Amino acid sequence: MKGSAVIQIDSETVRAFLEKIVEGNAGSFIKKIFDSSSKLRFYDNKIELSVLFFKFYAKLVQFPSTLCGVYEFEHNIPAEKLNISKLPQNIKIKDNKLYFFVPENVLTQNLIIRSMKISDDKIYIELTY
Amino acid sequence: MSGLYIRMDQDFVNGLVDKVIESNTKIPWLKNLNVQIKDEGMHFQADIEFMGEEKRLDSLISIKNKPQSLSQGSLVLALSGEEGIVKILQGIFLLLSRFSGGFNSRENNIEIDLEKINADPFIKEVFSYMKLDKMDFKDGEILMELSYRESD
Repeated sequence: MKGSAVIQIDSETVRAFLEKIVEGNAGSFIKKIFDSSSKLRFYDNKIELSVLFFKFYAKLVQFPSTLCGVYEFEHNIPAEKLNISKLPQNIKIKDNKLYFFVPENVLTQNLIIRSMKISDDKIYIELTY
Repeated sequence: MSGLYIRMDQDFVNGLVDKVIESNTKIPWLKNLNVQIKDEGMHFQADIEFMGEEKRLDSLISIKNKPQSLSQGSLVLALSGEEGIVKILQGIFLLLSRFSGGFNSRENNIEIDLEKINADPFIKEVFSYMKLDKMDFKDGEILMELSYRESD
Protein backbone atom coordinates (compact mmCIF):
# COMPACT_ATOMS: atom_id res chain seq x y z
CA MET A 1 0.00 0.00 0.00
CA LYS A 2 1.20 3.53 -0.74
CA GLY A 3 2.43 5.84 2.00
CA SER A 4 3.84 3.08 4.12
CA ALA A 5 7.01 1.74 5.68
CA VAL A 6 7.52 -1.95 6.33
CA ILE A 7 9.78 -3.42 9.00
CA GLN A 8 10.36 -7.16 9.00
CA ILE A 9 12.59 -9.30 11.21
CA ASP A 10 12.95 -13.10 11.29
CA SER A 11 13.13 -15.44 14.28
CA GLU A 12 16.79 -16.44 13.70
CA THR A 13 17.93 -12.81 13.98
CA VAL A 14 15.78 -12.22 17.07
CA ARG A 15 17.19 -15.41 18.62
CA ALA A 16 20.80 -14.32 18.00
CA PHE A 17 19.95 -10.94 19.50
CA LEU A 18 18.23 -12.43 22.58
CA GLU A 19 21.14 -14.82 23.16
CA LYS A 20 23.49 -11.85 23.26
CA ILE A 21 21.24 -9.96 25.69
CA VAL A 22 20.87 -13.00 27.93
CA GLU A 23 24.64 -13.57 27.90
CA GLY A 24 25.32 -10.09 29.22
CA ASN A 25 22.43 -9.62 31.60
CA ALA A 26 20.49 -12.55 32.93
CA GLY A 27 21.10 -15.07 35.69
CA SER A 28 22.61 -18.46 34.94
CA PHE A 29 19.23 -20.21 35.00
CA ILE A 30 17.93 -18.17 32.06
CA LYS A 31 21.19 -18.80 30.23
CA LYS A 32 20.68 -22.53 30.74
CA ILE A 33 17.16 -22.28 29.40
CA PHE A 34 18.44 -20.52 26.33
CA ASP A 35 21.30 -22.96 25.79
CA SER A 36 18.98 -25.95 26.03
CA SER A 37 16.15 -24.42 24.05
CA SER A 38 15.63 -26.12 20.76
CA LYS A 39 13.66 -23.58 18.89
CA LEU A 40 12.28 -20.07 18.75
CA ARG A 41 9.11 -19.97 16.68
CA PHE A 42 6.91 -17.08 15.58
CA TYR A 43 3.33 -17.97 14.66
CA ASP A 44 -0.26 -17.02 15.45
CA ASN A 45 0.97 -13.68 16.99
CA LYS A 46 3.01 -15.79 19.41
CA ILE A 47 6.71 -15.83 20.21
CA GLU A 48 7.36 -19.38 21.43
CA LEU A 49 10.51 -20.84 22.92
CA SER A 50 10.69 -24.63 23.29
CA VAL A 51 12.84 -25.92 26.14
CA LEU A 52 12.94 -29.69 26.56
CA PHE A 53 9.27 -30.59 27.13
CA PHE A 54 8.18 -27.05 27.95
CA LYS A 55 6.92 -24.34 25.69
CA PHE A 56 7.22 -20.76 26.87
CA TYR A 57 5.31 -18.20 24.90
CA ALA A 58 4.38 -14.53 24.76
CA LYS A 59 1.34 -13.73 22.65
CA LEU A 60 0.74 -10.22 21.35
CA VAL A 61 -2.77 -9.20 22.43
CA GLN A 62 -2.71 -5.45 22.01
CA PHE A 63 -0.51 -2.84 20.40
CA PRO A 64 -0.75 0.98 20.52
CA SER A 65 -2.04 3.10 17.62
CA THR A 66 1.30 4.88 17.30
CA LEU A 67 4.75 3.31 17.48
CA CYS A 68 5.20 4.62 21.04
CA GLY A 69 3.10 3.28 23.86
CA VAL A 70 2.35 -0.02 25.53
CA TYR A 71 2.46 -3.40 23.79
CA GLU A 72 0.56 -6.02 25.76
CA PHE A 73 1.44 -9.72 25.69
CA GLU A 74 -0.04 -12.77 27.41
CA HIS A 75 2.63 -15.19 28.55
CA ASN A 76 3.30 -18.37 30.52
CA ILE A 77 6.83 -17.45 31.66
CA PRO A 78 7.25 -18.36 35.36
CA ALA A 79 8.80 -14.96 36.06
CA GLU A 80 8.80 -15.17 39.86
CA LYS A 81 10.65 -18.51 39.79
CA LEU A 82 13.24 -17.22 37.35
CA ASN A 83 14.33 -14.42 39.67
CA ILE A 84 14.55 -11.93 36.84
CA SER A 85 16.26 -9.06 38.59
CA LYS A 86 17.72 -7.21 35.66
CA LEU A 87 14.75 -6.82 33.35
CA PRO A 88 15.19 -3.82 31.06
CA GLN A 89 13.26 -0.81 32.39
CA ASN A 90 10.78 -0.85 29.53
CA ILE A 91 9.55 -4.39 30.25
CA LYS A 92 7.12 -5.11 33.09
CA ILE A 93 5.74 -8.51 34.02
CA LYS A 94 2.53 -8.75 36.03
CA ASP A 95 0.85 -12.13 36.47
CA ASN A 96 0.23 -13.54 33.01
CA LYS A 97 0.69 -10.18 31.29
CA LEU A 98 3.89 -8.75 29.91
CA TYR A 99 4.04 -5.06 29.03
CA PHE A 100 6.59 -3.64 26.63
CA PHE A 101 6.86 0.13 26.63
CA VAL A 102 8.24 2.21 23.72
CA PRO A 103 9.13 5.79 24.75
CA GLU A 104 7.67 8.88 23.11
CA ASN A 105 9.77 11.04 20.81
CA VAL A 106 9.16 13.18 17.74
CA LEU A 107 9.36 10.11 15.49
CA THR A 108 7.62 7.40 17.50
CA GLN A 109 4.62 9.61 18.28
CA ASN A 110 4.16 10.53 14.60
CA LEU A 111 4.33 7.00 13.21
CA ILE A 112 1.02 5.15 13.08
CA ILE A 113 0.92 1.35 13.15
CA ARG A 114 -1.23 0.22 10.23
CA SER A 115 -0.73 -3.45 10.94
CA MET A 116 1.41 -5.73 13.03
CA LYS A 117 1.62 -9.49 13.01
CA ILE A 118 3.81 -12.32 14.21
CA SER A 119 3.65 -15.28 11.83
CA ASP A 120 5.71 -17.47 9.47
CA ASP A 121 8.70 -17.01 11.82
CA LYS A 122 8.68 -13.28 11.17
CA ILE A 123 7.59 -10.12 12.96
CA TYR A 124 6.00 -7.79 10.46
CA ILE A 125 5.10 -4.13 11.14
CA GLU A 126 3.54 -1.79 8.61
CA LEU A 127 3.69 1.91 9.50
CA THR A 128 2.05 4.96 8.04
CA TYR A 129 2.17 8.64 8.96
CA MET B 1 15.12 -13.77 3.93
CA SER B 2 17.06 -13.65 7.17
CA GLY B 3 17.75 -10.40 9.01
CA LEU B 4 16.08 -7.06 9.56
CA TYR B 5 14.48 -5.50 6.54
CA ILE B 6 13.15 -1.92 6.33
CA ARG B 7 11.40 -0.39 3.31
CA MET B 8 9.96 3.14 3.14
CA ASP B 9 8.15 4.54 0.14
CA GLN B 10 8.26 8.11 -1.09
CA ASP B 11 4.73 9.00 0.07
CA PHE B 12 5.62 7.80 3.56
CA VAL B 13 8.79 9.93 3.71
CA ASN B 14 6.82 12.94 2.43
CA GLY B 15 4.04 12.37 4.95
CA LEU B 16 6.57 12.21 7.76
CA VAL B 17 8.32 15.40 6.56
CA ASP B 18 4.92 17.16 6.48
CA LYS B 19 4.01 15.99 9.95
CA VAL B 20 7.35 16.45 11.71
CA ILE B 21 8.82 19.50 9.96
CA GLU B 22 6.12 21.48 8.17
CA SER B 23 3.57 21.38 10.97
CA ASN B 24 6.22 22.51 13.49
CA THR B 25 7.74 25.37 11.51
CA LYS B 26 6.09 28.57 10.44
CA ILE B 27 7.95 30.21 7.56
CA PRO B 28 5.45 32.31 5.59
CA TRP B 29 7.18 32.02 2.21
CA LEU B 30 7.88 28.29 2.49
CA LYS B 31 4.86 26.71 0.75
CA ASN B 32 5.85 23.06 0.74
CA LEU B 33 8.69 20.62 1.32
CA ASN B 34 8.85 17.67 -1.03
CA VAL B 35 10.96 14.54 -1.26
CA GLN B 36 11.54 12.55 -4.43
CA ILE B 37 13.48 9.32 -4.19
CA LYS B 38 15.43 8.40 -7.32
CA ASP B 39 18.21 5.91 -7.97
CA GLU B 40 20.86 8.65 -7.74
CA GLY B 41 19.64 9.83 -4.33
CA MET B 42 16.93 11.76 -2.56
CA HIS B 43 15.79 15.05 -4.05
CA PHE B 44 14.86 17.39 -1.24
CA GLN B 45 12.82 20.23 -2.67
CA ALA B 46 11.40 23.43 -1.23
CA ASP B 47 8.59 25.37 -2.90
CA ILE B 48 9.21 29.02 -2.08
CA GLU B 49 6.93 31.96 -2.81
CA PHE B 50 8.64 35.32 -2.61
CA MET B 51 7.47 38.69 -3.99
CA GLY B 52 4.67 37.06 -5.94
CA GLU B 53 6.90 34.52 -7.63
CA GLU B 54 6.90 30.79 -6.88
CA LYS B 55 9.91 28.53 -7.39
CA ARG B 56 10.76 24.92 -6.68
CA LEU B 57 14.35 24.73 -5.45
CA ASP B 58 15.92 21.30 -5.76
CA SER B 59 18.78 19.76 -3.78
CA LEU B 60 20.13 16.23 -3.97
CA ILE B 61 21.14 14.09 -0.99
CA SER B 62 23.20 10.99 -1.83
CA ILE B 63 24.87 8.40 0.37
CA LYS B 64 28.65 8.83 0.49
CA ASN B 65 29.46 6.49 3.35
CA LYS B 66 27.35 3.88 5.16
CA PRO B 67 27.87 2.84 8.77
CA GLN B 68 29.07 -0.77 9.32
CA SER B 69 26.47 -1.48 11.99
CA LEU B 70 23.85 0.26 14.13
CA SER B 71 26.58 1.57 16.44
CA GLN B 72 29.77 1.57 14.35
CA GLY B 73 30.90 3.92 11.63
CA SER B 74 29.34 7.03 10.15
CA LEU B 75 26.53 7.85 7.82
CA VAL B 76 27.89 10.52 5.48
CA LEU B 77 25.49 12.21 3.08
CA ALA B 78 26.74 14.34 0.20
CA LEU B 79 24.69 17.43 -0.62
CA SER B 80 24.47 19.10 -4.01
CA GLY B 81 22.06 21.24 -6.02
CA GLU B 82 20.43 24.41 -4.69
CA GLU B 83 23.02 26.02 -2.45
CA GLY B 84 20.45 27.75 -0.23
CA ILE B 85 18.95 24.40 0.84
CA VAL B 86 22.39 22.79 1.13
CA LYS B 87 23.45 25.56 3.51
CA ILE B 88 20.28 25.21 5.61
CA LEU B 89 20.88 21.45 6.01
CA GLN B 90 24.55 22.06 6.86
CA GLY B 91 23.50 24.75 9.35
CA ILE B 92 21.08 22.38 11.08
CA PHE B 93 23.82 19.76 11.44
CA LEU B 94 26.30 22.36 12.74
CA LEU B 95 23.74 23.47 15.35
CA LEU B 96 23.13 19.82 16.37
CA SER B 97 26.91 19.34 16.66
CA ARG B 98 26.89 21.85 19.53
CA PHE B 99 24.71 19.41 21.45
CA SER B 100 26.14 16.04 20.40
CA GLY B 101 29.49 15.07 18.95
CA GLY B 102 27.62 12.56 16.80
CA PHE B 103 26.53 15.25 14.33
CA ASN B 104 28.76 17.23 12.03
CA SER B 105 28.93 19.09 8.74
CA ARG B 106 32.06 19.41 6.63
CA GLU B 107 32.48 20.76 3.12
CA ASN B 108 29.35 19.60 1.25
CA ASN B 109 28.68 16.66 3.57
CA ILE B 110 26.54 16.13 6.62
CA GLU B 111 27.53 13.35 8.96
CA ILE B 112 26.07 11.24 11.77
CA ASP B 113 28.86 9.40 13.62
CA LEU B 114 27.13 6.52 15.41
CA GLU B 115 30.13 5.86 17.62
CA LYS B 116 29.80 9.30 19.18
CA ILE B 117 26.05 9.10 19.83
CA ASN B 118 25.48 8.68 23.56
CA ALA B 119 23.77 5.43 24.43
CA ASP B 120 23.87 2.74 27.04
CA PRO B 121 27.15 0.76 26.55
CA PHE B 122 25.29 -2.54 26.58
CA ILE B 123 22.83 -1.38 23.90
CA LYS B 124 25.78 -0.09 21.87
CA GLU B 125 27.49 -3.47 22.08
CA VAL B 126 24.38 -5.38 21.06
CA PHE B 127 23.70 -2.89 18.23
CA SER B 128 27.24 -3.39 16.93
CA TYR B 129 26.26 -6.93 15.90
CA MET B 130 23.51 -5.58 13.63
CA LYS B 131 25.54 -5.09 10.44
CA LEU B 132 24.20 -2.87 7.71
CA ASP B 133 24.32 -4.97 4.53
CA LYS B 134 22.39 -2.61 2.33
CA MET B 135 21.17 0.97 2.35
CA ASP B 136 19.92 2.26 -0.96
CA PHE B 137 17.78 4.88 -2.60
CA LYS B 138 15.83 3.09 -5.28
CA ASP B 139 13.23 4.64 -7.54
CA GLY B 140 10.49 5.69 -5.10
CA GLU B 141 11.82 3.76 -2.11
CA ILE B 142 14.45 3.69 0.63
CA LEU B 143 15.66 0.15 1.38
CA MET B 144 17.72 -1.08 4.31
CA GLU B 145 18.87 -4.60 5.13
CA LEU B 146 20.66 -5.60 8.31
CA SER B 147 21.82 -8.97 9.57
CA TYR B 148 23.23 -10.32 12.81
CA ARG B 149 26.99 -11.07 12.73
CA GLU B 150 29.49 -11.12 15.58
CA SER B 151 32.41 -10.26 13.30
CA ASP B 152 32.87 -8.70 9.86
